[in-house]
Amino acid sequence: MRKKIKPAPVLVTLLAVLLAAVWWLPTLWSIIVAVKPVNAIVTDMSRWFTPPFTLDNFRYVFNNDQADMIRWLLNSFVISSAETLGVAILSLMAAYSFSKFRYPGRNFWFWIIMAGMMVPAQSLMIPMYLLFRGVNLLNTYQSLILPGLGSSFGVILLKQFMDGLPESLFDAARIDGAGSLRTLWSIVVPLTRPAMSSLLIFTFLQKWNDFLWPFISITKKEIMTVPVGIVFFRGQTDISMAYGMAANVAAILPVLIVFFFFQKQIVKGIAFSGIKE
Amino acid sequence: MKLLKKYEGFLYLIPFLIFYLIFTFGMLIVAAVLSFTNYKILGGATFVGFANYTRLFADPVFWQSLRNTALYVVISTPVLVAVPFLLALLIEYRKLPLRGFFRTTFFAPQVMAVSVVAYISLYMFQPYTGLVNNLLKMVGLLGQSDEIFWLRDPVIVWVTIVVETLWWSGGFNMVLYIAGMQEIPDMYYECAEIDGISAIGKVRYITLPLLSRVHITILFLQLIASFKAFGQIYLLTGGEPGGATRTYIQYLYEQGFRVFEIGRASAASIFLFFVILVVSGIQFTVSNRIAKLDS
Repeated sequence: MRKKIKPAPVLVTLLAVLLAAVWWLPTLWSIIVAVKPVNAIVTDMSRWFTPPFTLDNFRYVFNNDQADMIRWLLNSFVISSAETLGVAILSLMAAYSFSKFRYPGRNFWFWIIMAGMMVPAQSLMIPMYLLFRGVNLLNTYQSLILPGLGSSFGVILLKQFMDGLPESLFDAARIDGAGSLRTLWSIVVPLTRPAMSSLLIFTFLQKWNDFLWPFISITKKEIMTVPVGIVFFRGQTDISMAYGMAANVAAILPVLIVFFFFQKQIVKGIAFSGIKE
Repeated sequence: MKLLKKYEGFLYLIPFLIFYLIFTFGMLIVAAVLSFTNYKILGGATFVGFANYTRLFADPVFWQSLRNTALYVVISTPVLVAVPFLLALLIEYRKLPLRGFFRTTFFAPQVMAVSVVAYISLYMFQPYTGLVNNLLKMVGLLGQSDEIFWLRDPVIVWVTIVVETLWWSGGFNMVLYIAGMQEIPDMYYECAEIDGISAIGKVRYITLPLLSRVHITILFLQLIASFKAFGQIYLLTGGEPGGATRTYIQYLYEQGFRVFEIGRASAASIFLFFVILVVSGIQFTVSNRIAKLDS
């Protein structure tokens, strides 16, 4: 019997490869520009993978009087971690409250918090700025960490997940005489791990990349985060392109590593929530 | 003791509720109050009624930014819904090898900070030295001595911005579509296969209609995200040429933090809130109706 030749899979694969090449190109180009000498010609693709290569651009980025890349990376890391931890604890408790308890006012509060999903963060910038200015906390870590702790996203995400946990487990815990804190720790925490890990990574990445609020509120170089800081390297001339791209690569690398390690959770988290910042 | 038992669950809510009531709910109320005052950054405020709103609606720059934003919403939304749908179709094509790799590829830019994305785009689209023009020359789509000024023409600049945004955030909608497609039972496709329906027919009669709820979600998320677009445009163009790319959020930012018109900026904030509220309300109604039709 003659085998039927199917051209479709080959064509589709070719198309996918072409698209993937287009999608990788900007990142690849940034890396190439970053590791080439300042005045190298980088428009000719045939010379991309041939020497000379250099790390001078990275040296410039990391040893710069006016820019403090290491400090910015550290700031981003501290702020994103603190925010993630805070969001995890607060959201877990609030979701537990909504999902597993009955008390007067529960539905009222739930609707109030649901409504918060519709409030655009951009609408809150001005009062937020005046608030932190009023209490003298502009240009502090607190001013970058605290506002995000009032976001409804994690509560809704975890509550939906907890609603799906089998009620019999909780009945069993109750019969065994476990208090609510004990139940939270030994039943809810381990069982909500999938949703929780999505929330953790999601929050971390979002905070790491957050731009508008730190851009508006931070004027001190020592407190800046990476996304705001690297705007400094935005050159007026093309000569600084190599420096700019080195700064970009330094900023991208940590998140790309996190992403490659945790992409399953990230993708699942998005699919699960369907919510955009 | 009995009271404690009754409100035990509420105790778990309190810590979050404090942050929420201050930083989300409270700030919204403050913005609303400020929008009725002539608050000065150096202190002092008096009630001025709707004056900020009338001045806002009389400001030509407000209307310019609103027009620009509406234009961006109209041109970006179809692209940012359709292309991710096609990418998802591609990845869900069972015979494609390395599907995980392709999914990673299209999603990866999503994790980059907006300033990085704008920065890369700025250099990619540079005339003479940028990669895009040189690639176009290489494949013969652009004459050797010609240059396209991607950021200087008030029409072309929007193409640049949409391409940039698609590269950056297209993967997000793609993942939502993939999740939706994975919920369609294989059986449907197998039946269609037996009936001899073509690949395009399967997409047309199975994939597209069964994803109606996903379409609605993605469409509205994208409408809202496009309306709130700021960083990838502002950091690329600064609102240029001639204010042609000044978006609504840029206007809000300039009023609040450049000219310190706190009252007017607060009015603009509240206006933004109502726009998002109305869009969300329409989304809610539409998806409810679809849910009813489905059942």
